[in-house]
Order: sequence, then C-alpha cells, then structure tokens
Amino acid sequence: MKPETKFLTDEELVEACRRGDEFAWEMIVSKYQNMLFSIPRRAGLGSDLASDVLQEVFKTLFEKLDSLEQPQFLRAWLTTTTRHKTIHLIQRETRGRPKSLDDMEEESHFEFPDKAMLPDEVLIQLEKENQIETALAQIGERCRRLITMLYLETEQIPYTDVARILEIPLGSIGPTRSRCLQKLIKLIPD
Amino acid sequence: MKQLLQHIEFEKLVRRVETGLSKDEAQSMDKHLLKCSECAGQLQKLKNFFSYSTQQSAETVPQATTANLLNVFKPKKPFEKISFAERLRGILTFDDWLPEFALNERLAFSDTRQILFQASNYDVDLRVNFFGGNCQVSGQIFPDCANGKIEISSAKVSEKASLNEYCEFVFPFIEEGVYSLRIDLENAVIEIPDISLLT
Repeated sequence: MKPETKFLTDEELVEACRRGDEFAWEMIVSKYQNMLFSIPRRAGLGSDLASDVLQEVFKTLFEKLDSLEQPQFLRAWLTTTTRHKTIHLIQRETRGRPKSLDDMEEESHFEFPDKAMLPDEVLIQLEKENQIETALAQIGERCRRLITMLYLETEQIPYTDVARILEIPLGSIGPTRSRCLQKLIKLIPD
Repeated sequence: MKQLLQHIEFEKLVRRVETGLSKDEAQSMDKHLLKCSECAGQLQKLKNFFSYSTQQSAETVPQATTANLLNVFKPKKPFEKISFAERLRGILTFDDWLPEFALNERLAFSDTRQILFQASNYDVDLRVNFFGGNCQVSGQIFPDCANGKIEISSAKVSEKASLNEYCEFVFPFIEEGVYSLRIDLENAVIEIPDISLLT
C-alpha cells in the first residue's frame, strides 16, 4: 500500500479510477470488500453466492464509474447496491426452496446455510442496515468521515491519525463524535 | 426545559454501549429507561449502530474473490489509453514547390514534390507525384509508427495505406485537390489539414 494514498477520500479514489488508476481500484476493493461481503453472508448466503454478489456489485461499479454523480457517497452506493443484489438473489433462490421434507435433499443446491433466519427476517435486517447507511449519508461530510473512521473502517485508525486527516484538534474528536452520533441516530427511523 | 434536563446525557448512553458503565450508573440508568421511552429509543438505536459497526469486518473475502474483483478493472485500460492519445497538429517545415523553401529553381518545378511536416517529436515526409490531373502520395514517418494507421481524405474521397516496418506508405492515385492527413499512432494522433495537392 502506498502510504501517501492511504487516506484518499472516496471521491478522490473514484476520480483516480476514472483516470485509469488501477491502484485506486485496488484501494476501493481493499477498503470495502470485507464489509460488503458481510452483507450477503449475514443474510445467510454461502461463501460462493456471496462472492457472486460482490462480483456483480464491482462490475456494476466499474460500468458506472463515469456516471456516478456523487462519488463522495461511494460507501452508501456500494452498500445499497450490495443489499439490493442480495435481496434479489435471496428472492430468486427462495422461490425454488423446498416446500416439504421430501424436497430437503434439493435444498443443498441453494447454498442457503443459515436455516435459523427466514427470508422475511433477512429482509427486515437488511432494511435496518440500510436505514443506518441512509442516515450516515445524510449527516454531512465531516460527520460521515469521522463516524466512518472511528467505527466503520476495517482497520482501527488511531485518534491522532483521525485528527490529522480531518484537520481537527485531537481534543475535539470526543465531543464531535458525540454530536455526530446524536445526529446519526436522530435520522434513523424508530 | 425541566423535562429535557431529566433525560440521560447522550454521552452517557454512548459510554454504556461503547465501554460500559459502573454497576451503580447502569442500575440508575435502567430505572430511568423504564419510564423514559425517548432515552430507551436512543439507547436501542445506538446499540443497533454499534452492533452493525462490529459486523463490518467480521467476514473475510476469499482470496480468489479478491483477485476477481481486482480483475474487473482491467478491461478499461486499453480504452483509457486510446482516449488519452495526444493530439498533434503537423506544421509545415519544408515544401520544395514553395519559393521560400526551394533549394534551387530546378527542383521547384519538378513533377515530384517533397513536403515535410513536424508534429512534436514526429516528422512526416511526403512525396507527391503528379500524372495528368491525378497524384500519388507516398512517404515515411519518423522515428516510429508501431501499430499505426494512416489515412488521407478530402470532402470527396478517403484512402488508407498500410505502414511497413520502415514506416513507409504509398496511397493509391487520387485526384488533385486539397486533402487532410491523419496518422493514428499508439500514443498520439497526428493531424495535418489543408494540404494543397494541385499543380
């Protein structure tokens, strides 16, 4: 990883991809792949189907790179697209789910390992996650970056780095974080 | 105002979810939460958010999947290369039919005309032979022309020629007239407009 590009914003990464910068694409994949992969996995899809979802999402991103109107909302775009594709896949798979015990052997074809969670519950869970991401997209650039760095990055970012990147005093991270979280939960429906 | 002051401080709710409270603080909070749906609702949303945030990196993508995701980007590269080809305009540097360039009177009125153009680091050497109202254009590109294409065109006609290993080309006969020359190279497009091929 090139240290000087480690903290490029999503907008900068998308712009770099548009210029043909392969490294920027690697940065996007590296930054979001685990988080996105967890969406279909939590919804009960097997590793292979979850990988298929991810492949579709990144193919769509590549196709739409030049037409993404708000690249600063890349994270929201990626999570929403992943959820839609996951829901689509679940609905497609469950249409063919076995109706009786006699059909149970066929179930293995669907690679639907999480028997505890019914499709409706999965959809509700995905919708709740979507509400959090939607709220996150609405709290403003500064808050979004702070909350993302503190709670949603794959690797934990030290406060000193957060302060440097966001150009805010170290001592104001705590109070700002609190205000941003308050803003966030106000935007999440009851 | 009195009602607002009775609510639990938001930072304390965050602390409860993020790091935990002392037993006394937690018990006191629980008593309040039983009576206050607003604080209970805020706490529940915070719990949902922190639960969501801890799930973010719970899964690790298989290496083969990562490789596939990285490969998605590759097909775009050739397109980018073409779209960013440098556009160059050829500038006349020599024409032995023009008095200011003619080396001597004898060359200035021969049937074979030599015209040289320069475009950045490239030189284009044209030789034009005239035969009763028609002409044949040949020439050479310097210093290189790998995978290049060359085309001469006017409002009426367009002709292409192949480039050999020495970057030489020969067009078919064309009518005398005013033509444009376009050379597509790997990293550049050279355009030479308004070449007058008239005797």
